[in-house]
This record gives sequence, C-alpha cells and structure tokens, in this order.
Amino acid sequence: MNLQEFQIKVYPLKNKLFRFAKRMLDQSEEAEDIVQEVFIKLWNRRDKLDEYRSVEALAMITTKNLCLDKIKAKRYPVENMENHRQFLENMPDETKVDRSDLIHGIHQAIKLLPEQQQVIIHLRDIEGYEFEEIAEIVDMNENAIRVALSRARKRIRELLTKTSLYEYQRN
Amino acid sequence: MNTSEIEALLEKFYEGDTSLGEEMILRDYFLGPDVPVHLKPHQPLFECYRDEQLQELGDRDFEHKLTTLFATEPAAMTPVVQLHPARHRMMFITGIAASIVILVGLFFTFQNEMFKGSLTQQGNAETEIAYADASAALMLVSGNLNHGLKQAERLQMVDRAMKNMQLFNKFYQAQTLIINPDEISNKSIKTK
Repeated sequence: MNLQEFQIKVYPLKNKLFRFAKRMLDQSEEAEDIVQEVFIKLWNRRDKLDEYRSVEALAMITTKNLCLDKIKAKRYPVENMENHRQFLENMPDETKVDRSDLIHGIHQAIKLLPEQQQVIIHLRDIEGYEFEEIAEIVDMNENAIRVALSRARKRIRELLTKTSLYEYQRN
Repeated sequence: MNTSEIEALLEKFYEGDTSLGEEMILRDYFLGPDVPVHLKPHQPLFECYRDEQLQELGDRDFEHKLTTLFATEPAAMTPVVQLHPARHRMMFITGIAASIVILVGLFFTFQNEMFKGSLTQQGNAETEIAYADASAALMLVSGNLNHGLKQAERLQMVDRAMKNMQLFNKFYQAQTLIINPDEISNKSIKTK
C-alpha cells in the first residue's frame, strides 16, 4: 500500500479510532497520541495491509491493545459498580432535571460501566458495528457480546426511568 | 411506524436483540419530533449517542503531520520513529544518574577500607585469640575421643578369646568321635 492509498483507506478512520481510544482512556490528548501510534504501526506494516480482510478491524484492534497497554502502565482507577450505584442515588430528586443534564448523566453512566460493556456499547450504539465485527475487535463470541450489550443498555435504562419519574410528575 | 411497534422494538433493543437496521429506525424515531410523552424518557439516550458520534479528533494538522513523517521516512521498514522523545531522554538521564550512584558507592567502599587499615592489626590479635580458643576446644574433643577408642579396643580382646573358644569345639568333636564313632561317620557319609 503506498502513501496515497494509505491516505485514502486509513486516514478516514481517524475519528472512529479517536472516539474509541477516548472511550477507553477518557482523555482526549492521550487518545490522539494513540491514534497517531496506530497509524504509524499500520504504516510500518503497509506491505501486508492488503492481506487483511479488514484494515478497519485491524486498526480498531490495534487501538484497543495500545489503550489497554496504556491503562495497565498507568493503572487508571477502575470504576466499579459501587460508583455506579452512588451515581444513580445522587441524581437530583425533586428538582427538575434539565435535558442537557440528563444527556450528560448518560455520558457519565456509560463511563461508569465495566470496561468491557463500555467498549461493546460504544462499538455497537455509537459506531454501529455488526456483532460479527465487534466479536473480532473484542475477541469474544457473539452471544457473550449480546448479553454484555443488553446489560449495559439496561443499566442506562435504569437511570433513564429513574429520572423520568419526575418528568411524569411535571407533565 | 406506530407507537406499539416502537415499544416492542425498544424492548428488543434493551435485550440486545435488535439488528443495526432496527436500531437505525429507533434512532430516527427518537431524534424526530413525534415522540409521545411516555417514550420521552428514552430520548436522551439516542441524543447522547448522536453527540458522541459527532466527536472528532481535535488536531487539524493531524494528517499533515503524519504525511510528512511517512514521506520523510526511508522506504525500508524502519522501526517506529520516536514518538515520545521525552521517554528516551528520561532513560538517558536515568542511566547517567545510575552511573553516578555506582561511582559514589565505589568511592565510599574503598574509602572505608583505607580507614580500616589501621584497625586490622587490632583485629588480628582478636582473631588469634579466637583461633587459640577454638583449637583448645578441638583438642579437648579429640582427647576424649581417643579415650573412648581405648575402651573400644577391649572389645577386640573378647573377640580373640572367642576364637580360642572354637578350639573347645574341636575338642568336643574329637570326644564324640571316640565315644560314638558311627554317628560321626554316618554324618560324614550323608554330607558326601
């Protein structure tokens, strides 16, 4: 693959890779560094890129692995279920919930999911990957992915229905 | 699509069973203007997804930087260009720091030895005393050991006496030969 092809086929992935890295690292600057590193790695393998069924999947896997390395090296604090519960309980009760607050709340709720569920919900609901593609990226079987996805979505629904009670009261 | 169909689809969505196409339908529905009140609570989720989808890598110069990097790089598969010069500089500095620590350590070790020079004679006297004590103790042990061995030699005398006793045995055989010659000859025939 020459530079021109590389620019056409690989460069357009940058935002997708960036969002994925940001999802995992929760840090924009580091996510950008990761994307750059991924591109350099792919460039160094440019002679073999055509052998891959999907360069995009390869790029996503490389991004995931580099992020995991970074997480391990840095020992990012692991958010746990307790945080999630506390977060739900701390949602404002009788005061009116602003729409943008609510959207922000969902962003936060996704961040508080277990890492694996975060990655899966991101790949499916934000990037719109097929289960087959997600299976390749996260190296899990499709059934396990469906289960994890359902758990993640339901946990967010918990938050939505809890806050929605007040909307009912208001209406 | 009517409300009850959307409700069913939404339930399927939370179970993780919707296809990408069905999820698109839900997305368009919830981002549209006609969401009934009882389904409104689910709207922010799809709005949140849309927000995230719009996120982009901030560095406008990103592609340009990479292209320059790739173009200047030799054609061969060279290892990754140092992306983090800071890390390498750290290693360099750590190396220097480590060598200084080793040099300082060596200096102090030798310095100590030089000071110890005057103390060694005193030390020799102490070791001689210790040596004398130790050899005295060992002599005592070996003396007692020899004493014990002398006692053991007496056992050998018993052994010698036992050999003499065997002569009595021969005497007894000769005696029986005289008293009852048949028995002995029978025995000797049998053994043959």
